[in-house]
Amino acid sequence: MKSIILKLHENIIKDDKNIKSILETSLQKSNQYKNLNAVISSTYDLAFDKVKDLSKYSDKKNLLYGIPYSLKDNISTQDIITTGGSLFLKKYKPSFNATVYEKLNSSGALLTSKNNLDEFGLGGTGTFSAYGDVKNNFDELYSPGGSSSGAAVLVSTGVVSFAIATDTGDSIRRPASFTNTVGYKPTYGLVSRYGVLPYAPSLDHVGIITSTVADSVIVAQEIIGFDHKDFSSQNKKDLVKLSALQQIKKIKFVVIKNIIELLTRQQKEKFDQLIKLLIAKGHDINYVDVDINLLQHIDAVYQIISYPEAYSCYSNMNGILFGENIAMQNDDFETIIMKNRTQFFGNELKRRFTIGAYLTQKENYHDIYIKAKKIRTLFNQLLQKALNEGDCILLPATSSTANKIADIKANMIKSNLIDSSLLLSNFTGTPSITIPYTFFDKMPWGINITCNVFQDQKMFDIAYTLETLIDEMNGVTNE
Amino acid sequence: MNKEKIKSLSKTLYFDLSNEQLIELEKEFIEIQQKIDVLKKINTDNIESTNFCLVSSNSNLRKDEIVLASDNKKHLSNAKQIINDYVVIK
Repeated sequence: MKSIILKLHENIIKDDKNIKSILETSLQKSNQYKNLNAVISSTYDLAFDKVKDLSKYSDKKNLLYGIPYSLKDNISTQDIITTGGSLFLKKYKPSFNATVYEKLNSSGALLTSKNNLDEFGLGGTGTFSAYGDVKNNFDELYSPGGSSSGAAVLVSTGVVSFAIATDTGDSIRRPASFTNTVGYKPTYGLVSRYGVLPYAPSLDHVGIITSTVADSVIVAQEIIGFDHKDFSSQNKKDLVKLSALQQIKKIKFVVIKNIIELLTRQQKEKFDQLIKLLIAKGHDINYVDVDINLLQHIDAVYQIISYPEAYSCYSNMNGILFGENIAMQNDDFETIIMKNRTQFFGNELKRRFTIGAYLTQKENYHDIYIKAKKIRTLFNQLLQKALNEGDCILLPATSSTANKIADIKANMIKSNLIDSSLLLSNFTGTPSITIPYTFFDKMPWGINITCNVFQDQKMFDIAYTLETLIDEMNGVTNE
Repeated sequence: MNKEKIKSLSKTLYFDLSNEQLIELEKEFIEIQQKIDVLKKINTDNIESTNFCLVSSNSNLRKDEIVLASDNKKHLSNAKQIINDYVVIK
């Protein structure tokens, strides 16, 4: 089984002392790739300290025991600075832990860093962090995508074998495509959002970035679980298990024909190569068309729903109880907030909040905001109809390989419905995973699989089957 | 949406926008309005709104838990100015 975590675990089982050398290797790599700007806060010191007493608090048999990992810096860690990628929370130390961090602590996994992200997850490029652009490890002139930019780069470079991130539009699965990693967004509510700084709660998911499908399953089985502190938490026990991970002999893939038509000739050839391989291995391909006239509104509906949710989530940011504060003596309450937000909110945040406020003004609320929520229902129906045609939907994860940072800043990036199609899983809560597929001009390009809600195990099985076939196709042998 | 309206909108959110950003947003609002005009034509008769992905939540409401701070000083350290364990608003 292709797994970095299992290999590390074998070493740890042989001798506990190996944890220290695993950590040292991770730290060495972290220093080696410092220039990529993937890390906001390093926590290696805490990790080395924790190793001393690790066996007292965690079970050595746990597959994550002693395994270094990174958290996206919008996940609360008690007494460890959690910036959310924002200057506003430059020195903010949460007084409690996010549930996902608690779970990983119990498993014995070792937090080594809080990684860089677009401010509060609002951005898909990795260029909207107050702590600087994150660079793609395949070419530093390129972005790894976002908002989970740091998480993807740390896994892709092998600094850590897994990172926990969040996905509101495509923020795990898009960077995964650009960095040759596996990006898993679970069914909505399977992983607790408690203690995770939100972007848009009705679309927010906590997920995982790894190098292999099996590693994603190992982490998923640890962090999935009901949490009464998260009102949208789903109570599904043992939904994902490594012991249940298997190759599937016959899969019926649904391919959306009128989205695939948007591929370039070169991409289409490569995608068709995969389709031919799947057919040769006995799988079925079911080409379907979806209502493109409806789907073309997906970005607009995403804006209308997510931007108002975002600005309402951050109405508590005033700099008084927590956060940065530059107010002067005798400033009144409104002036204090005004000064702090103007100074410490990034431009992308201000842009999205302003648009969000417009969309929910009294005169727009029903005609625009509620209308968008109804169209969201139509998107759900559209996706459901496609999913009913087979076991899963198979699509390219992105319309291109990674974009140049300079082009992003010059607003020169063109996207199409291939990129937007990833949003469907956030609207519907369906599980979705991006896995590595191929390279164009030495830059990675992933494929994406989506299944029905709560079919996370089935989706992992399909992803595992595909991963093995792709490795075979590329002549990669796994132990 | 003109610059003045955008400016007053940002005031309701308690931040100022730079002149450059006002110009950009003014342009963007034209595009947004065009998209909205098309969006409004989609037939949504008898369609219910989707508020959350999954409605089968197990805990729609929960009792608030009182978490007593283990170390008050740690919590207060997030505030810029305190006097006698009270946060100074200015």
